[in-house]
This record gives sequence, C-alpha cells and structure tokens, in this order.
Amino acid sequence: MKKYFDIVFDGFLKEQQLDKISSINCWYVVKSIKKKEDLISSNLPSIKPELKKLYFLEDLSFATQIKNGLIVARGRTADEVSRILASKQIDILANPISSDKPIFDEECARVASEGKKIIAFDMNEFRRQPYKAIKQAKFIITLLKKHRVDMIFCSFADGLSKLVDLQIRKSFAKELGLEESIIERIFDEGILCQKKE
Amino acid sequence: MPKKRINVIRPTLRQGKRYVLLRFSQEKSKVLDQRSLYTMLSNNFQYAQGIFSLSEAGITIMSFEPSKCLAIVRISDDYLDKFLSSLLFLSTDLGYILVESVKPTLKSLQALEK
Repeated sequence: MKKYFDIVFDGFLKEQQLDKISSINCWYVVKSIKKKEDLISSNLPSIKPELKKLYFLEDLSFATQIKNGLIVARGRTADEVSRILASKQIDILANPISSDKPIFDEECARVASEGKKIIAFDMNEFRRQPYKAIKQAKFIITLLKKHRVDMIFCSFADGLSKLVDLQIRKSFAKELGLEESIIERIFDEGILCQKKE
Repeated sequence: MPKKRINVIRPTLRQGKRYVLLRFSQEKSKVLDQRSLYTMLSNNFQYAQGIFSLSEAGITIMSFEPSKCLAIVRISDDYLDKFLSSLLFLSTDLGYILVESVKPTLKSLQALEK
C-alpha cells in the first residue's frame, strides 16, 4: 500500500484528529528550533496514523547539533538558500519562492542535485501570492527536472484551514507541469525515507 | 423485425464526466445553499482558470447537504485536475476541503456517501 505524507507544524496536532483525514497515512511534524533549549527532544504522541519528527531550523548554526532526523530549513535570501544547499546536514530546502526577486537559480539546482537535497514547496505560498508563486514555481520546476532534483509539495499547516488535501496537491502539481510518473513518486513517503537512510 | 439489444455504454465513456465528493470542514458551509455553493465554486474556478475554461468545464452541483458539509459536484473529465487545483484558493471561505472520492458514475459515489 502506498504511504502518502504531509508536513505540518506541531501546533496543528493539538486541535486536530488526524485519523479523520484518511488520505494521509504518515504525518511529519515540524519541530521549530529557534534556541538551544528547543533541541531537547520531546517525544511525539504515539497515535495512528504514524507521526514522524522533522526539525525546522530558524538558525542554521544548530544544524550540526542534530544527530538524527530530517532537517529542513528555509532561506529568505539568495545567500541563505546557497548556504542551506551547501550544508551537508540539512536535507530539505523549504519554500524556494520569494516575495521579491527570485532566490533560486540554475546554480542552486546544480548544487542541490550534487548534495541530493529535496526542495519542498509550501502550498500556502500559492494562496498568499498566487501569480508570483506560480510563475516562480514553474521556472524552478524546469530547473529541478533538468538537474534531477527531488521536490515535494506540502501544507506546512499550523491549523486545519491551512491544510491542503492530497488530491488538490496532486492536481496542482499536474497543473504546474509535472508528469504522472513524477507525481506518483514525490507524494509517496518513500522519498523522505530514502533521505533518512 | 427482431429486437436488437443495445450494449450498455461503459461508465468511463459516458460523456467524459467525473463526480467529485467534497467534504468541507468550516461551519460556514452549513449556512450555504446549493446556489451559493455553485456561485462560490464557479467564481473560484473562473479566478484560477479563466472564463473560457469555466464555460467548457460544466460545473454542476448534483447534491449538497449543509448539515453534513458534503457536496457532490459533476465536472467534465478534461477539466478535473483544473477544478481540483482551483479548490486550493477556496479554502479561506470553506476551510479545509477534503476530496473524499472521484468516480465516473453518480451511483457509485452515492453508495460511498451513505
């Protein structure tokens, strides 16, 4: 059976009953790391469907202190994006779309390919600034396809209204020009499992 | 003249329509009626895909149960992905939209709804 996944913030767990959302059978819960104290591990509740931890770095210097688990970071400028892609510890670059000038170019795609990084598109970014986000995403996707870089489309939701259904995410990816075979691969949880190994 | 039996047209070939079962999370959907839901869905589709796509997509609300926050929408098969992707922009009005199922016949979807 295929395992579909989504990434949500830990605040999302408090108000939702995840078992009611039957299309997703694996949830990655983001733990934001803003200060040193956040590194102290707090276990996720053992419920069904499965919950897995994902570290979201606000400060890139903490990357070396996380020994196991997937690490995701977001770059707001072209420099930050380059630093994230060059870092060996960080696995996922979140939201390569900028509200100003584009921050992701062909060189970034090449470095991401070498470092086997995953580029995560935040679905709520398409709601915030649809025109700019779609335009930049189409450009970035052509670069990612050219350099064979993996990409994922996730909700990064902190509440139910921000959650995007799996079918909607799949159709949106298709509208952005991704082929059926790529879509089947990138929405499967295996893409993140491989990264962990 | 002997009667000629006409073969049944396979559901997947019937005018290329798809039936989508949608569930809304927002309490706001409970005060909507079928007409206002149609206006909301078609306006949103037009915003995302344009007026020419809207005229060809043939969006029809087959049933809407505000108490259960459930709706069945019929759409042309060619525009299914465009319709589903446009739902991304509708969430501010209707909260989390769950696409429960997509089926080629209304009968199979109604069985699911029960």
